[in-house]
Amino acid sequence: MNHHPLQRHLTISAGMHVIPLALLVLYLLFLNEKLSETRKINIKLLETSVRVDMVAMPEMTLRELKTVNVSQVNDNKGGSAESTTKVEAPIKPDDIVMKTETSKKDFKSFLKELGQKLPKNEKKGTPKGTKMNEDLRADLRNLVVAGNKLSEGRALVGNGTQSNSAEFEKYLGMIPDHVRPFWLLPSYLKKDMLQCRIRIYLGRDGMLLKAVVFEPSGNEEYDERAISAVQKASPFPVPPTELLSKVLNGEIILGFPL
Amino acid sequence: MKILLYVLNALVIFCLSFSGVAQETSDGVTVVAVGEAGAIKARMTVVSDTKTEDIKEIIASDFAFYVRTFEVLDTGAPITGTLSQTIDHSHYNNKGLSYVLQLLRGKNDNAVVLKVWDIKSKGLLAEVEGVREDNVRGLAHTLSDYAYQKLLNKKSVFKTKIIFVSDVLGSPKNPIKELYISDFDGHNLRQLTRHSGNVLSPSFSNNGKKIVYSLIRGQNFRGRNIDLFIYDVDSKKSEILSSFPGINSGAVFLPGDQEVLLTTSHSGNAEIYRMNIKTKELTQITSHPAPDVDPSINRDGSLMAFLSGRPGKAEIYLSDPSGMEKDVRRISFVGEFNATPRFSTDGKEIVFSSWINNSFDIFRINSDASGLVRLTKDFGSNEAPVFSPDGEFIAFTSQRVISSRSAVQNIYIMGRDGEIIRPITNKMGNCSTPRWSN
Repeated sequence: MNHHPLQRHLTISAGMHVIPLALLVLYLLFLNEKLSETRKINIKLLETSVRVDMVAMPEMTLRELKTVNVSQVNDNKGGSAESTTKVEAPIKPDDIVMKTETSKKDFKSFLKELGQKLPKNEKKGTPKGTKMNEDLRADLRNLVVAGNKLSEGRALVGNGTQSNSAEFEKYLGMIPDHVRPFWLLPSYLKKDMLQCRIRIYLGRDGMLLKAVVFEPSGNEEYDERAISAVQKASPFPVPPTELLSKVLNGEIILGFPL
Repeated sequence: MKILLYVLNALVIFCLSFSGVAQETSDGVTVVAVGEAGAIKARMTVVSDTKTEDIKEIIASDFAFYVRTFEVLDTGAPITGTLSQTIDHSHYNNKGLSYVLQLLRGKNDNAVVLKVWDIKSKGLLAEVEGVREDNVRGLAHTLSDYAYQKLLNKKSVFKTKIIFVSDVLGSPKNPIKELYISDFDGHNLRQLTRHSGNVLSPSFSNNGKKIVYSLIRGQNFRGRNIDLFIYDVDSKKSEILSSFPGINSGAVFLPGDQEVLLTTSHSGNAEIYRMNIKTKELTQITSHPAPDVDPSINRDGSLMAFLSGRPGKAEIYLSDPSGMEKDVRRISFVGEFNATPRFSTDGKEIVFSSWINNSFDIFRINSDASGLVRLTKDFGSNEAPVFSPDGEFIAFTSQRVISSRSAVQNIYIMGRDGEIIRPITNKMGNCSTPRWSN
């Protein structure tokens, strides 16, 4: 019975200690969360502000770029497959983290070059000049295809460590942009939400060997226009040698639109 | 280090496989999505009998706006026809036409019948009858929209309106800028406000029934506070919506038209707030020592684009307007001075103007910060772009210097890729801030 008051005091005392402590812990947790939130915000702010303005606004308009794009494509038809290899963006092996800058600098200097050299070259028409023109056009085409974007950078990993499938993914990633300029529909076919899939077989130089309807849309004209787009898009980007078997065996199917 | 690279590699593959570009199917082949097709222009024309020639001209001019979709051929002389007759399909087929819109007088003098002919299938796609009232242009636009919807299964801009500010009533000594409204093609022009002050940054509600705008009052008024007004299109009355000390401007309606986003400077710094129109209750959306102005909202209200001085100069930011400083991200990283970002209706693109080579020009960027393209060049100084509700057009102002003292600024419409179509204002002084109704 003697214990009784003591016990009560002890409980009260314990309670009086535990409750503030618990409150303190809760408060600290809350504070921590708040802090981490602001930290997150700060990091975000930092991230956004670190990406400094390295580049000017695009000088050429979309329409100007498009006309260059078309003439480049036409050149391709007549020329060898060599020019298509140039189209591929140069990604250096150790182009690891500082993503935007290289591409941005390239873009700026290339625009400068373009501004200065293109008109001169046209006047002179020297062999050297035309070569430069072709290079520029290839670059430009790339640019049009990439939508003039400020890339976050794709080269997180060097080429040396890239596996076969990553290579394949990269190659596949180039194809939609390559075909889309030729993928055109009249309005009466656009409104019906049709879809078909075309299987393509490519040669080692990227030339189209065969294109067959894999899944028809149900509308013959739609399928024909899809096939015709694929045919006009040939030659395709030159496939890397290790992927030859895949593209030769028709392992790529193009979805129009999906 | 090697392990890190492997992990990164795996991550990249993982991301790519979810990016939707390519997708592995069970039998070893890979499907690559090419994406939406571009459009081949459809050739069309509009024909009419002698009674409906006036409407024919308007419909042909309507369709000519869609330069990316239609090639409108010369309409030619009136043709006679009766309501039950078909048209000479082989004649139009030989001209390479896909569609013919035919106008005929209806059963009585006020009735106009529109027939939409598909030349390829030799069939009548649709037929509708309208009644002439005072506003012939309104009837013509309604018929155009009907035909457009039958051909493309989506709404056109033919029935939309454009509001803008013009200084035509002012003089150098007493500048006056009032608000005007017109059809999308610039016709049917009317003056909406009579403040004898300077109207700024107007904006339509989503249902087109209200307009918010800001006002700097004229010389006879004490104080130069910039107040926000709301105009009722039906009653033609304006009332003050917000008059905090300083700036109350750049307002846009949120979905549902019960709330607006606006910029006020009553805290000492320009910040963006959400305001309930009935209760006038304010909720702060941005909070940063740098000024935040010019909010624009996507259709479902989930994204706000705005202009902020955070990086030391005006750049475009996005945020989620449901919270304060929520998901703030910068999307423009270039440009000396960017201004007036406006969302496309689907929220995927933003048009804005940017200072380049001593004038403003119009640029477009995707809302994920990719795809920055320039749309205007060597075409005067171009500002205040705004997307049409269907995303096919951009209205903007273009200024031409006439002499060292004077310049004229008109409102133009261009296609979404920068195809200049035509001006829609003429002899209206300097026009600014076009805004498109839904």
